[in-house]
Amino acid sequence: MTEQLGALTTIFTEFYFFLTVVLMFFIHVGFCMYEVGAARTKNVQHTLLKNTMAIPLVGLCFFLFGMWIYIAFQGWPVTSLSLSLSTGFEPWSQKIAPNLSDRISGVFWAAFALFGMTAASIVSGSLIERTKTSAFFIIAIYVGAIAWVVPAAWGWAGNGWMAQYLGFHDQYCSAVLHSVAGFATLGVLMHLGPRIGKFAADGTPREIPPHNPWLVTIGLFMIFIGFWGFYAACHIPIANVAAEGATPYFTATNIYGVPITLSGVVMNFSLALFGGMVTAYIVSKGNPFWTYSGGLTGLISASAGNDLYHPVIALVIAVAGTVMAYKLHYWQEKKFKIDDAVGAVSVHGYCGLFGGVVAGFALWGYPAIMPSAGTAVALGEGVGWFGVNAEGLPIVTPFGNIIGSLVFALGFGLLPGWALGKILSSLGMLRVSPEKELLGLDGRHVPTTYPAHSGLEAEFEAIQRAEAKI
Amino acid sequence: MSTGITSVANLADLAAVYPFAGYEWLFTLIVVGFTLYFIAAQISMDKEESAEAVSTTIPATPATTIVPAE
Repeated sequence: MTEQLGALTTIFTEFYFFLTVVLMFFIHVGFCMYEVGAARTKNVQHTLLKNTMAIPLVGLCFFLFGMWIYIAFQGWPVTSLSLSLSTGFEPWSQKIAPNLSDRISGVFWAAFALFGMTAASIVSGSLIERTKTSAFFIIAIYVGAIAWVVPAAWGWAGNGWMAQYLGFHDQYCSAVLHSVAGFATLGVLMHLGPRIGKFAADGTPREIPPHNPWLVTIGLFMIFIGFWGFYAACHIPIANVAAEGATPYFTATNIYGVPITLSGVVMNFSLALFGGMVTAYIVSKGNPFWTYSGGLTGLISASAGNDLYHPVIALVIAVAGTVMAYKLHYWQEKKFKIDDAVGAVSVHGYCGLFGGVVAGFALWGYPAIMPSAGTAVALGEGVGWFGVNAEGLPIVTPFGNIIGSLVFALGFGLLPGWALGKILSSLGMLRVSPEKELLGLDGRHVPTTYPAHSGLEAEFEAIQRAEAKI
Repeated sequence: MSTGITSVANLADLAAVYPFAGYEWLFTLIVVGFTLYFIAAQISMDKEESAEAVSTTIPATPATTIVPAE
């Protein structure tokens, strides 16, 4: 019986993560459509391929070292100063290949690789219409396969030292992924500068209208779909969390091994989405871009604690985060001349940081981790620097979450993003020439984007008529 | 090319089932080379396109006059 349960648990987990990967791919469909819609006609193909190629690029880097970082760095440098080279996720490991003795590592790797590609895509949109592709690739490797992975190892794993010692809690990666990617974007934007003509001589920002607002909105809708998969991939879908010898207790758990219900998560996801959309619709006075982005601001603001909030708490946090993101986007644009073409700094950076901090207050006192053999979460020694519960488990506190969120946003996002932008800019690798920017990043391919409008189609029809003698 | 496995009678004994198991270090080098080539090729393409843009006349996009509805 025990063996049968074990087999079912393994096969269900394998299938579950496989499906989350499929769902998460919609995030990339969405990001591509969104960015393509936001770009002007002369930049459409470049924008599309820049974002699309982040998928294989970050994926390859995740194969080479990204997933290894996640496992190897969980205790480093607090509980261990050594980094293992036998985690099972080194590129030469036999586990991440067809192997009948391991059914989980590959699907687990794929889910994480998709997270990484999402992180890189967050940066992509803000930089459109003036960034060299190779510069974006280098930034994408950092953000997608390194920048958020170390925070994930520390604070988004039951055995991560921040989860154990700080009681850090960020179930759906508000701070771990979104704030890191958003703040890294801000750092790069400081050196990249605005698109030519974005600001008038007196500093007044000008609207650069999207060439296709419908693609923008459909793209954001696709991201919502992918977000369901993203949430699902953050769970351990089934595990026996009972102590050895006790009556089995099978449940889904959060990433920290603490029991949750998918039923509750679905409620919180929905109410956060609703709160964000309604708020953005109202504050932007019905602007479609902001209304759809509001779904994301709501979700990202509530994500850190959306495994345990009440749905109405999720909604309230989503409302607050959305108002903040909307105001901050235009404030930074006017005050600092930051040309963030898709609002990623506000939507992901500020909302991610906000979400991480708020979760520390809202979930104050809740056990941060739950050790069990079923989830492979083990309790370290001397855990819970900011407090433990009666059973000796570390608890969630505002202190732990504020420290963790700030370290991630600034230490892994803003500062390295700024340094990377500075280095690339100094080497002349960051931005295309003004000639190229005016010509359009699609260069000689511009007319092929919409042949019916550019005259290419009519030109070919003329050839056809001549050949058919009509 | 062979997996080296000719029987699936004892499933419990099977682990890696792909060809050239044991040569994972070589597979790793292939991926490293492929990734570096990808990035180098992109840098080279960027340089070519920049040079092309400098030598290209920039056509102005025709502005459209919106006629108000009657």
